[in-house]
This record gives sequence, C-alpha cells and structure tokens, in this order.
Amino acid sequence: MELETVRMLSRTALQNLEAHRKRIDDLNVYPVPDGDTGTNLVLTLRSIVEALDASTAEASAAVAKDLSRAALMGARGNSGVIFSQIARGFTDVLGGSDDMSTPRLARAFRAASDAAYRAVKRPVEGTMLTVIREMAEEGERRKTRRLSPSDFLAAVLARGEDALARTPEMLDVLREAGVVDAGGAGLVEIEDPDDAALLGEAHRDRAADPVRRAGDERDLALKSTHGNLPQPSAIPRTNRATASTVLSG
Amino acid sequence: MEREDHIVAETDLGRISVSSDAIAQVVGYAAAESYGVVGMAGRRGWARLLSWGSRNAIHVERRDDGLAIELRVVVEHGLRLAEVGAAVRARVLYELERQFGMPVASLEVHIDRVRKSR
Repeated sequence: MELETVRMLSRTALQNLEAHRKRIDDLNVYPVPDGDTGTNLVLTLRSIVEALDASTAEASAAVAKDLSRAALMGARGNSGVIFSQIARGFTDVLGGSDDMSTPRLARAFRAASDAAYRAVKRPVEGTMLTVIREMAEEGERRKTRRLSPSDFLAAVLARGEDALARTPEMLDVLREAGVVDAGGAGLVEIEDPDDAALLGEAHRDRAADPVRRAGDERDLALKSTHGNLPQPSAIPRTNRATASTVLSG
Repeated sequence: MEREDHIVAETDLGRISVSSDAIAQVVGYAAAESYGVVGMAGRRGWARLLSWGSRNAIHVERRDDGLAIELRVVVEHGLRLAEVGAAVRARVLYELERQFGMPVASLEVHIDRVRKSR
C-alpha cells in the first residue's frame, strides 16, 4: 500500500459520499431511523482523509497501520464502526506488501468481510454486512479469480450493488419502507473509485455526466418520504471498470 | 428478575400489561443485534459466588417517571466504545418505544468487558 494511493482513494470515497450524503441519510431506517448514516460515513471518511494527510508513513505496513487506526479513531455512528472493521480487514492483508494481484485482493475482501462479521453477536442480513460478504464471495468465485485486478474489482463492485439491491428482501423494515440499506449504499459509494482524477486522466466532470445528474437531481427531490425513494440500483453507474485500475496500477 | 408488571394500556374492559422479563427480552434482542456487541455480561467470579451485583446482564425496574433499565454488554476489542455504546442505547430506546410505547426514565449501558475474538 502506498500512502499517496490510499490518500487518493480516501479522498475519492469522501467525495462520492459527500455527493450522496443526503440520499444515504434518507435511506436510513435501520437500526434506528434517525437519518444520519450518510452524515456519519462522511464524518468517518473525513477524519480518515485528515489523518492520512498528516501521515508520514512510508513502508506499506506503516501506511496500512495508519489507515486502520484512522478508521478506528474516526468511526462515527453504527455504519462508521462497521466500516472501521472493514478497513481493518483490508489493511491486514494489503499492508503486507505493494502487491495488488487478484488473489491478494480476493483475500483482502475476505478479510474485510470476516472482520466485519466478527464484531457482532447476531449479524443482521440485509445490511452493510451482507454487501461486504457478497463482495468477498464474488472475489472467491473461480471465474472472478481469473480476471485482471481491474476487472476483478469491477466484478466485485457489481456484486456489491446487486447485494445492495436485494437488501429489502432480507430485512423486513427496509422492504416496508421501500428502501435499500443505507450503510450498504454508503459502502458501495466508498468502494466505487468512480473518479477520473484518480487515473490522472482528463478530469471527468460528474455534474456533466447526464446519467449521474439525473440521479442526483432525483436525490434532491427526495425528502422524508422513504416510501417514494427510488432504489439506488435504478441509478445507472458508469466508468467503474476503468477507474478501478488505480488499485492495480 | 423479580416479577413485576408494567401497564402499557388501560381500557374499560381491563388493562394490558407486560412483565419486566418481556421488556428485558426485547432489550436483549435489540442489544445482541447492535453492531460491536458480542455478548451480554453475566455475573462472574466473586460476584457470582457472593450474589453481588445485578442478577443479570439486563435489569428492568419500574419507577414513577418510567422504566429504569440497566444493560451490561461485552464489546469486541478494538472498536470505538463510545460509538458502540451510543448505538446500543439508540437501538434499545427505539425498540422499547416502538414495541411498548412506555416512557424510559433511564437507560444505562455498561460495557462490562471487551473481547478479543482473534
């Protein structure tokens, strides 16, 4: 893990979350419908970004340690605490070296899922936990394991979105409210390196992206009526496969 | 836990009440599903032998101004304890309100131990 890469990934995750904060807040009906999941994840990521900005770590293991610690210390709310465990699982594997091969990424997702599940007596499915677990399972499929690192990440993320779309089938309170899980939606945004700045390519203006824009305007129209919320899976996502090459590069 | 009933509704035909045990069960379910909680604390060691301390991980008492609840949990090592505690508290209060609609005068969450599961 290189500090500069981790900084960029964290910043992108923070930008993604900030852009979708309101939508994620509005999705929040579980475990308590207090509408703060998006805000909590933004605050968690913000403190990670700040801690990494202040970091002087050089070796991969030191970068991993700083990231893991930043996630732990900055964890806000339920979703932030779960994310801190996911980050810890990732860094346990990826901190070992700069190698970002597909098998190693697969192990990182598995470690992230296991770490997340380890910290609760009675895991509730249809939440952020389900999303990270299905990502890990996708990473272990023989077919996925043969992919290049960037295609692997795209496949894992697609599976995460698919799992997110199915969360209402797993958790009654979500189905009744007509929403997908807020924490899971936040996790998908965090794991989505959908930003060309990361690739050092021409800057892709999100606002100019018609697809994104349609989704974002709909977000703004949403208020407190959970029942009218669209499922995020209805908002097409683009550019993922190319953007994910940053991890493997 | 002492047998104690709590009135949740009164009608012309009679009252509807729930026991402290039922309330404690709901508290227990809500807490066990809270992220970071890996167990409930029981009476251990000397306290167990000498019958000190609260009898169970969950203690429910009726007070004039509402329920007084004490909850002792075991949390996974390495988590932000303040955030876990706050989440447990919010979740338990929400479930009590949703299921019983009774006023809660106090809810104390004690993190009794941390457990390292690896």
